[in-house]
Amino acid sequence: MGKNTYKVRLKRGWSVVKSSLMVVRSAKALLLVPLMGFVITSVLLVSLFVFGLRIEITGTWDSFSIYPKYDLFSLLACFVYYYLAMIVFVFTEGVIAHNVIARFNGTSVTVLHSFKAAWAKKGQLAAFALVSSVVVYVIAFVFEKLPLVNKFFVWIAELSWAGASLFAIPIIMAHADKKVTPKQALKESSLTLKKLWQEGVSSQLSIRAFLFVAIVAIYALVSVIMRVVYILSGHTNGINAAVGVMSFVVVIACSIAVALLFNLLGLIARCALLYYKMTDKEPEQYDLSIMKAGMTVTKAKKLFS
Amino acid sequence: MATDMLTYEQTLLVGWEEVYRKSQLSLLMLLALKDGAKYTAEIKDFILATSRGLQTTDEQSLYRALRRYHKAGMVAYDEVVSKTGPNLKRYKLTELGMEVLSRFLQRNIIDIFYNQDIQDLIKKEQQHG
Repeated sequence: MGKNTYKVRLKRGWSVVKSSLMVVRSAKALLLVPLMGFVITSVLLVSLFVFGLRIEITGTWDSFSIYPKYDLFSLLACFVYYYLAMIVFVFTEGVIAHNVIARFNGTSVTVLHSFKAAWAKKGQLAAFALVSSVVVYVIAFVFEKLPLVNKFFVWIAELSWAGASLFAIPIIMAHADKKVTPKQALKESSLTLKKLWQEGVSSQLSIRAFLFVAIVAIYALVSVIMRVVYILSGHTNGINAAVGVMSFVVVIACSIAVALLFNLLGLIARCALLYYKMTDKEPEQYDLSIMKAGMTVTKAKKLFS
Repeated sequence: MATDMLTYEQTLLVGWEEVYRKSQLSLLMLLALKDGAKYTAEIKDFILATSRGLQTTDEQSLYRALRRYHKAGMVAYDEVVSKTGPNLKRYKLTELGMEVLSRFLQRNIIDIFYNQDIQDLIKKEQQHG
């Protein structure tokens, strides 16, 4: 069996997922970073409404799109929002990527240290965020609204951009002492995707499946609870309405948490694949490095108890 | 009264020994591997023989512990193909495991129990016993 047969690559993809879960278990503070990003981008979104912009929002539980009504002020304001939100997104991904790659190297690094490392690269991250915002804006608004352009080409454009930029932020953070322009990051990201697309697909599908099960479990649990309360309350509408509202809030909160966790795991998996490309070290060997990076006396006690 | 005291002493002794033996299990397992690469059953026999039958453990507990040590990089294994059932694992200490064990033995056994004063105290106990 050769090094890169189909089976080996699928197995490598699965090892990447296991390593990603291990990183999250050993560095729980990382969970706060995407949450912080979500809060900041939410505040930015609310501010759009505050300024009375005429916009519409469409999307699903894990992503949404904002389309401005067509006047110049709304268009510009929405672009500014996109850019600011993209900066927040890119910066938080940079923090996580720095921390995760250090752990694969066997080095224990705090989230604060990773913030400082991402701040040191703020110029490069902001430049990439600008390129990303422009591309996303053009695809979302211009292509969407052009009557001659088939939606299929919009989808192809979105997919191409998503693919090309998949590893860009980890690449910017992996080259600690080197300045990486958006063009260089995208070029290296495309080459990485070309080499490791099978591992990428298998790891992302595994993570999605894992989180899909979590979402279904949450919805099922909430449905059961609502049903039980409805029966126990003797079909009282007031109580049902209150429980219904609470359940809705719980489901939304859990969905957001799951979406953030999915994005975090997806990013860690991409960092793991990039690390594999850079070092040729198989993902199965990352576990010991991650364990070394996260070892404390308390954890060592559990080892020997 | 004398009978009651004996029972009380025995209870104290048994309680202390249980806690002491639980904490000894990791040491005996790693000593078994220091003695040479072993299968789980051989590790179990080594522990039983070294503790003169006082320290017993089930294979599931040994497997769990060995899995933890393997994840931590202290123990490695070679898989031996078995014709009759699942493949067997022959465990051995890694360099890291050897280093950690050596330093543990030096700091917690040799430096304490090979100390002349402590040895004299124990010898006194042997004479008293």
